[in-house]
Amino acid sequence: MTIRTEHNSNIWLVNLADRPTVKQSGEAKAPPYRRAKQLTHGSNKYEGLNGLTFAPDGSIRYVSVERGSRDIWSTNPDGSEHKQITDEPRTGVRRPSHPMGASSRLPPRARES
Amino acid sequence: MNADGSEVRQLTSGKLESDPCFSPDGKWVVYTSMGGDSPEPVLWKIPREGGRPVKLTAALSAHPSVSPDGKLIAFFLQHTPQAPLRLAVMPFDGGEPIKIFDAYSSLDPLQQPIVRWAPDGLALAYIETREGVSNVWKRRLDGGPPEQLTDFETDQIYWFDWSRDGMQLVLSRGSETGDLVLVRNKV
Repeated sequence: MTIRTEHNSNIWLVNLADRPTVKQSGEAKAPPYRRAKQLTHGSNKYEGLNGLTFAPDGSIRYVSVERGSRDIWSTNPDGSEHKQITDEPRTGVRRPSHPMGASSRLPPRARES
Repeated sequence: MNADGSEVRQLTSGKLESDPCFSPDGKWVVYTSMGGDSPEPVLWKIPREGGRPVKLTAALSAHPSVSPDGKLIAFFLQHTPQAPLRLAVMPFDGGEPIKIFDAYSSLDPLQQPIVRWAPDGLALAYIETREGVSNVWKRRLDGGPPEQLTDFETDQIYWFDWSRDGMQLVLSRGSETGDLVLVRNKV
């Protein structure tokens, strides 16, 4: 018996300019996902799980294991020009973790899943 | 490393260093270090061209983000290893925090305690996970109640960033599922 873990993580874009009003804590909820657009699809590619950022040129850079190793990829906010930036075959998937916290003071950073 | 993936070079040589972020002028990299002169996580910075690292604080600190004007660093602070995480702000040159927010509620081990500056430098955004559902929230430096920026009702957010014009958030979100699998040897 073993445990098979599937980790779905995909890239989403939220357009804050579309918000008709600013929602404060405790107010009624707006419809979910109304302004969220999913840019990547699929499972076990861990897209953005280990980091993502806007580049100064407006493209989105994110970590993905689409080709088996943990590498930096790029896409435009409309989902076009999906391309691989780095090629580091020695790296694998790493679950997110943090070095602080009441329950885990030391980081399980080296843990691979 | 250049933005096209070329010229990769090692900047630090510590045991466990993570969460690097550039200062806006590109001259410095701020990061979390563990296992050097302290077993606890502490913030450091190092020139982009390499050289001697500078310790920014002696406090338990991690996950830095430099303000758009380069004058401040937002980060997560812990007064003791068992204390709750707090969102804090200190000068770029280091030292005592000039602002400490309330306890950061989420300690989900799958979630990174990430903080990002609003592009105008007046607020901080962070992930809050409540009953397994994450959303991005914003706190103004000058006070006021937290403001919810996303409206998700399922799944966790693992990472996020703010666009330079402040009009968009990009984020990674999803879920983890586990199945028990019976493996049999072929006879």
